[in-house]
Amino acid sequence: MFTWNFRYASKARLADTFQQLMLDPKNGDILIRIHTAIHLEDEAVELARYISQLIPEAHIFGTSTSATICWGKLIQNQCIISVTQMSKGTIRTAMLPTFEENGLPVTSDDLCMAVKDAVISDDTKLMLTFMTRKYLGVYNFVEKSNKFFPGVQMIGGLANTSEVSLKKFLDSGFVFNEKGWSNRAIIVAAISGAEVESFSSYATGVQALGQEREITDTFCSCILSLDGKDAAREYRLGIGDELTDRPELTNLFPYVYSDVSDIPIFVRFSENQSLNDIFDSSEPIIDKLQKKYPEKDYNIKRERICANHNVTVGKKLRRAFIYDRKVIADNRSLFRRIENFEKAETLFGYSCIARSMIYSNCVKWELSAYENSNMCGCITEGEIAHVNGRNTFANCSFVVSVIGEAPATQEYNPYAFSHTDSLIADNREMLNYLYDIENKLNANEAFSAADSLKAFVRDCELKMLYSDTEELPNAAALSMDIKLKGYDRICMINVFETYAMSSVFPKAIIDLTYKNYITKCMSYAKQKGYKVYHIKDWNLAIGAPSYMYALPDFVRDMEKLQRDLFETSEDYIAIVPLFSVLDGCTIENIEQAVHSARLTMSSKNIQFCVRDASSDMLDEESIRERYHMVNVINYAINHDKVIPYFQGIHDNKTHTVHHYESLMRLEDENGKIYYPGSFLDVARSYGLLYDSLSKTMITKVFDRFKDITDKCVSINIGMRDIKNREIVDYIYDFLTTVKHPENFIFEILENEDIDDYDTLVAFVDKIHDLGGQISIDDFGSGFSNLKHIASIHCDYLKIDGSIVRNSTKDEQCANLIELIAGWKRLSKHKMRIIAEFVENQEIQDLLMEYNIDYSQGYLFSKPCPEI
Amino acid sequence: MENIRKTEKVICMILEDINSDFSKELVKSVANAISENKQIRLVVLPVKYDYGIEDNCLHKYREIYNNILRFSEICSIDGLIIHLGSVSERGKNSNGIFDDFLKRLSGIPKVLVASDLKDAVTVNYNNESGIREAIEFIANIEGLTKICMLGGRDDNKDARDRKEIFIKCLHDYRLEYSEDQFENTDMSEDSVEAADRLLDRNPDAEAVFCINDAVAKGLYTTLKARGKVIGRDVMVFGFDNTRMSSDLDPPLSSVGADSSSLGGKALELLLSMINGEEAESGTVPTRLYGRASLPYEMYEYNPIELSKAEPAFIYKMFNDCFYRYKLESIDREKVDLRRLFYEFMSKMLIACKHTYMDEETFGKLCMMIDKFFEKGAMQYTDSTKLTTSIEKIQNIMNKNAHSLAATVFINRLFARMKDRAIVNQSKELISHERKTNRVRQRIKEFIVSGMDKTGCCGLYRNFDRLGLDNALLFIFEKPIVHDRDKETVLPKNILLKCMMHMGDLYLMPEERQKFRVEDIFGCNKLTMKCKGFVSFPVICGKRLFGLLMCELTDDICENGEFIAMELGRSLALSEQ
Repeated sequence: MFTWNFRYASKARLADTFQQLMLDPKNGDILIRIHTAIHLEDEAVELARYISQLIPEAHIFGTSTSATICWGKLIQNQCIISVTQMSKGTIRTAMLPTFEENGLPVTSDDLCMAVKDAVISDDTKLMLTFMTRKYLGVYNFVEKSNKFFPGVQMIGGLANTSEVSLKKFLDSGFVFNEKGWSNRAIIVAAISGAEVESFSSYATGVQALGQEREITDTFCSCILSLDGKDAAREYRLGIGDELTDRPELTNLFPYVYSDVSDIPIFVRFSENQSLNDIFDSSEPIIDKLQKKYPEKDYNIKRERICANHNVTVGKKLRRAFIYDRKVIADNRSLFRRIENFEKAETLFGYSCIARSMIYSNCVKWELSAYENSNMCGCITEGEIAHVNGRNTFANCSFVVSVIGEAPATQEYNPYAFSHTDSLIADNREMLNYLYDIENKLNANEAFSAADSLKAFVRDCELKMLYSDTEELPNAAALSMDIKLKGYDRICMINVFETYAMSSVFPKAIIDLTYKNYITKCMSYAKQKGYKVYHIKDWNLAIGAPSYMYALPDFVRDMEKLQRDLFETSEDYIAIVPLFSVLDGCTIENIEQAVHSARLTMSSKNIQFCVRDASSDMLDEESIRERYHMVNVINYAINHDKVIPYFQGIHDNKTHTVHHYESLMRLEDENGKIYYPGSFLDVARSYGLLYDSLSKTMITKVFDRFKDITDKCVSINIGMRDIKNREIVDYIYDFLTTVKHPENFIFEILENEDIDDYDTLVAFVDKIHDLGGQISIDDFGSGFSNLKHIASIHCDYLKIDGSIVRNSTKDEQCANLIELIAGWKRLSKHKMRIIAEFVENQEIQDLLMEYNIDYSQGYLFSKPCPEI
Repeated sequence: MENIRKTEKVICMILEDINSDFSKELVKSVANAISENKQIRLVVLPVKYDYGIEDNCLHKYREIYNNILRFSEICSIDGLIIHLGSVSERGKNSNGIFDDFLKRLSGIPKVLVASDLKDAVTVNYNNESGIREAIEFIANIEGLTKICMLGGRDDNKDARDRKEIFIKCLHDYRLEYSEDQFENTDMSEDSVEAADRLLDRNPDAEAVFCINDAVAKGLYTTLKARGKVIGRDVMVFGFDNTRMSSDLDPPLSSVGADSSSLGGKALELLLSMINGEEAESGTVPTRLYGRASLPYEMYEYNPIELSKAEPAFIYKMFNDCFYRYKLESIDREKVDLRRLFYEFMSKMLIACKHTYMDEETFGKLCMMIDKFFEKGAMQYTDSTKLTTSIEKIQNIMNKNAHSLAATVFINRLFARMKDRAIVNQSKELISHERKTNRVRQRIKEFIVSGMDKTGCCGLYRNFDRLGLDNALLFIFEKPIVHDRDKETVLPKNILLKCMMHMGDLYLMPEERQKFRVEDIFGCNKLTMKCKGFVSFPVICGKRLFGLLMCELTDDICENGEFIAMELGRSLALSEQ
C-alpha cells in the first residue's frame, strides 16, 4: 500500500501529479479520496470526472467539508486529494441512496444490506463511510452495521460545508463521485485483503457526570422529555440561563449515552420553536410520523433540544462536559495505540467541527502529533468511531484509523503533547463560564434555578480545577480564586533542577522526597487555613485572601514553611525550594510578577522574596511620562535637535582650558532643554533610540571639531556603543581620516556594567593605535575593579563627581582623592586626573593640594552650546 | 553627567502636648495617611503649651522643654504640620514664643491645623455641621430647651468658633441663651470646677455641649457626684470623637470628622505644597457620632435594604458600625477588614434571604468572624455602638426570617460577633494596662542598673531596658545650659550614642557617633520600617542633653516624655 496526499491547485497540476506518482491500476486498486471545502456540488463532480478520465480504473470517494486535514495539518479553504494504491488488497466503493424514491428514508436494515452487498467481502477490514445530515437514521445504521458486517471497522462521518450554525444543524453537506453528487446518499469505500490490517480509535475529551436519565419521549431527532420531564427545560436549568445568549455553550456540555460514556452526543438548543419549525412536514418521513403520532402538538412554540440523529425512547443519557486535561489524556492514549501499530502505511483522520468551535486550538494541537505522517482527512459534523470493537456514531470526536498491508513507519511527533499551553488557553471559555456561574451562584441570582446547576458546576469544577496527579486544586483553580474569591496574596513555591536529581538518585527516593515535599506543604497550609495549588510538577502555590491574612503574617508563615522544607533527614534528598510571595495579585499581573520574582531571585541568588505584584505595573503618570520622553527623543532625532553642549576642563597648572567635554542635550518643540538624566534611561530601554542618539551626538561633535587644530574634546561612550559595530567603525574611520586624532578623547563610563572586558580592551587599543585618547569616567562610583582599570591604559581618569563634591565635608572622600593622586604618582603609565563637580574654591584648593591635573565644574564654566 | 538625587521627604509635625487625646489622634491620622507612600518620613516634635506665668516651676520646665523647637529650625525639613492652639489671628501680635519661631521657618511649606491665621494654609474642622446636627436633634427630637456649654480658652480659635456656632444654633431653634449658660475651661480633663460652677448656675440644665472630649470627662465626674444620670437626666456631647469618648461610662456622644481626618487632609495639602502646587486652606466636614450620652443614630437600617443584600449597602453598614475605618487610610499589607466584613455579612444576609445555611458555610463564617475581630476590628468602633447596631440588624433579620434552621445559625453568628467584640475590647484594655505596668517596671530596672555602673557608658549599655523597640539617642558633646534671657544656640554636631533596632541594642563606636545636627531627621540610620518618629528633648534642670527619637507608637505618646525625663535625670546623675 502506498498513499500520497496533495492539495488541488489546477487540473494541469493534477495531471502532472498523477503522472509523477506513476499510478498504474495494474499494480493494484487505486482509491482517490477528495475532500473539498471550495467546490460547489457540480464543480466537485466535474473534478471527479476529470480524475476518472485520467485514471479510469480509480475508485473515487468524494465529500464536501468545512476544512481539510492534509499531512496531519489542518488546512482551511482548500481541496485535498489523497491517492492510495493497494499492493494486493482490493478497494470497492459505492454511492448508495439513503432515501427511497417516495422520499422516505431507507431503513437502517436495508441500508446495511445494500452496503454489504455493494462493497463488503469476507476480508474487508476497514470501511470509509460518509453520509449527509439529511439521513437522521445514521446512529441506528452504524449500530446495525455491527450486526450485519461484524469485524469491519468503520471511520467517517457526516459531510458538512463551510456554512456553520450554532443554533441549528444545517444539512448542506454532500457526497460525490464521478457519476454525480447527492445530499441524500451514503458513500463508502471498503478496503479489503488478507494482508490488510487496520486499527481505529478515537479521542474526545469528554467527561461524563451525574446520574443516568432515560429518554422518555422523542420526535425524530428532538428529545422531548427525560425521565418524564421537559428535556429542553432541564437542559437549560442544568447549564444556566445564559444558554439562550450563548448558544456555543451547547458545544461545551453534550450528553453521552450511558453505555459508551466517553462518546459525546450533541444537542442544539432553540428557545422558541415548534416541531413544525424544526421539521419540514413536506418531507414524506415527517408527514408519516406526524400521522403516526397525532397526539403530539406540532405547533406549540417552546424551547427544544435536538440531536443530529434520530433518538429513541429508552436510551439512557448522562450529562457531560469537555475540558482540556481530558482532551490531553484521551489524545495521549489514542496516540500511544496508533504509534504502536505495525502496519502503519496510511492514516485516516477525521475531526469534528464542534471541536474546533469550542476549543479553537484543540484540533491543531491534537493533529500536531501526526504532523509529519501521511494522515489525510477532513472536518465533519459527526463521526463514526470504532469503540472497543464496535462501530458507533459520535459527535465532537477525533477519529483515527491506521491501515496497511506491510509493516511501515510513520514519522510521529510525540513531543507535541508536552506543549499544552494552547489548550489551556482554550480552557478560558470553560473557565469564563464557570466564573459567570460562580458569580451568579454567589450573588444567588441563579438560586431559583435547580440545585442541579449547582451540583453540575461543582462536578465540573472538581474535574477541571483539580490536579490530575495530586489531590490538590490546579492552576485553573488558582486563577478562579484570584478572580472570584479575592485570593491576592500568593506564594509561589518551586524546586528547580529536579532533573539533576534523576541522574544521581533512584526514582523511588525521588518520589519519596516529592511526596514528602507535597505533604509538608499541604499539611502546613491546612493547619494555617491557606489553600495549596498544584501548578505543575514541583511547582506549588499557596494562596490567601488579603481580607483574611495580613501580609507580615503570611510572609512569616511562608518563611517558617521554607525552613521546614529545608530540614531534611537521611531519608530524603535535600531540596532547595524557592519561595516568592506576591502581594496584590490579579489574573493580569501574576504572570509578570512570578517572572520578575524569579529573575530577581536568580540574579541575587536568594531563595525567598516578597514583592508587590502591582508594582511591576507602571502607574499611569510614569507611563505617560515615558511616552512623552520617547516623543521628545524621536522629535530631537528627526528635527536635528540633539544638541552638544560643551564644558571646559580647567588645567590646574596653566590655568587655561585644556579640553572640552561634550554633553548631550535635547530640545523639544517648545524649545525646552532636556538633560541626559531625564531621557537616557528611556532611550536605553528602547535600545535603538539610544543608538541613534549616540550616533547623532558623535557625528555632531566630530563635525564640530574636525577642522579645529588647537582644541581637544571628549565624548562619552557607553559599553553599548562599543559593542555597536556601526558606531565603532564610524569612529575608526573618522580617526584615520582626521588630521589631529589626538584631539579626540573617548570617555568610557566606569559604572556602566562592563561585561565584556575583551571587547573594551580591543576598543581602547584600537583608539590608541589610531592616535585617539581614552578617559575613564565616573571613577569610584561603581564598585571599581581596580585590576581592570589598571589593565586599560587610559590617558585620563575622571574622579566621580559625588566624591569631589563632598571632599570638603567628608574626610573619607578627601582620602579617596588623595589615594587616586597617590596611585597616579606610583604608576609608570602617564595618566592624568580630572575632577568634576568642582563647585567652589574650597574644593579647588583641596584638589590643588593633591596636585590634581584638571578641574571641571561650575567654578570655572557651565556647559553651553558654544565653545 | 548630572546626578539626580532622590531622597525621602522629611515632614515635621509640631504640636502641643502629645499626651492629649486630640494630639494622639492627630498624629495617628497623619501617620496612617503616610503609610501608603513610603518616601515620607514623619518626625513629631511635641512642645508644651505655656501659660507664661512668672516664676513657676512648670513654666520653667516648659520653657526648657520647648527648646526642642530649635531642632526644627536647624534640621533639614521638607514640610511642617503645625498644631499650636495659640497660633491664631487673634494672638498674632501678642509675641508668644511661637510667633517668632514661625517667622524663622517661613521658607518651609507648612500647614496649620486648627488655626485661623489668614496668611497661612490651614486645615480646620467644619465646626458647624456637627454641632448643628446635635442641637437639632436635642431641640427637635428630644424637645429639650435648656442647653449649656463648657467652653475653652479664649486664645483658642476653635473654642471661640464653637461657642459662636453654639449660640447661633440655639438662636436658630429659638432656644434661650444667656452668658450664664456658658463657662470657660482650660480644655483639659481638669474641668471639674468649671463644670461645678456651670451646674450651680444652671441646676436645670438638660444638655451640655463640651468643647472637647477631655472636658466632658470632667463634666462626667461632676454630674455623677450630683447623682444625675448621664443620657437620661442630662445629655452630654463632646467634640473630636476621640477614642477616649467611647471608653467613658456611659460612652460619650461626640462630634467628629465625617469623611476625612484632620491629619489626612493636612498631609494632603502639605504634599501638594511640597510639590510646588498652590494649596488652599481646607475644612474637614463633621457630624455627630451618637452614643449613650446622647442617644442618636447616624443611620437607620431598613428591612428592604437588608433583604436585598447589595454590596453597596453592606459596605455602608460596615462604615456605620466601624465608623473610624474610613477615616484611617489602612495599610495595604494588613487584612482588609471591609472586604472581610462584606464576605461574611453578605453570606449571612443571603442565607437569610434564601432561608438556608449549610453547616459548612456556618463553620467558615465563624472562622471569618473570629479573624475579623482578631485582626483588630474593635479599633475602629466601640463595643456599645457595635452591639446596638448588630442587634438592630439582627432584629430586622429575625422579623423577616421564615426558616428556623437558617435563623438559628444566623443568630448564633450574631451572638458570636457580639461576644468577640466584647472579649477583644476587654483584652485590649487588659493588655494596655499590663503594658503600662511593664514600661514602669522596665524604667525602674533601667534606673537601678544605671546606678551600678559609673559614667554614662553604663547608661547607654542599658538603653535596651527602656523597652523601646526602635529608637535613637542623640547626645550633645556638652549639655546646653538654658538661659532665659538668651536664645539657645545648638552646636553644629551631635553624637549618636546608641540605638535600638528591632529590639536590638547597638552601641555606636566613637568614630561613627558624630552627626551634623541638620542631618539627624534625615539620617539613614532610620531606614527601619516605622510609621514615624517622635522626638523628645533629654533635659534635666536647666540643661539640655540631647534628643531621644522613638518610633511612633500609641504608647510612646503617653510614655515618651517620661522616659526622656528619666534619661535626662540619669545623665545628670552620672555626670556627678
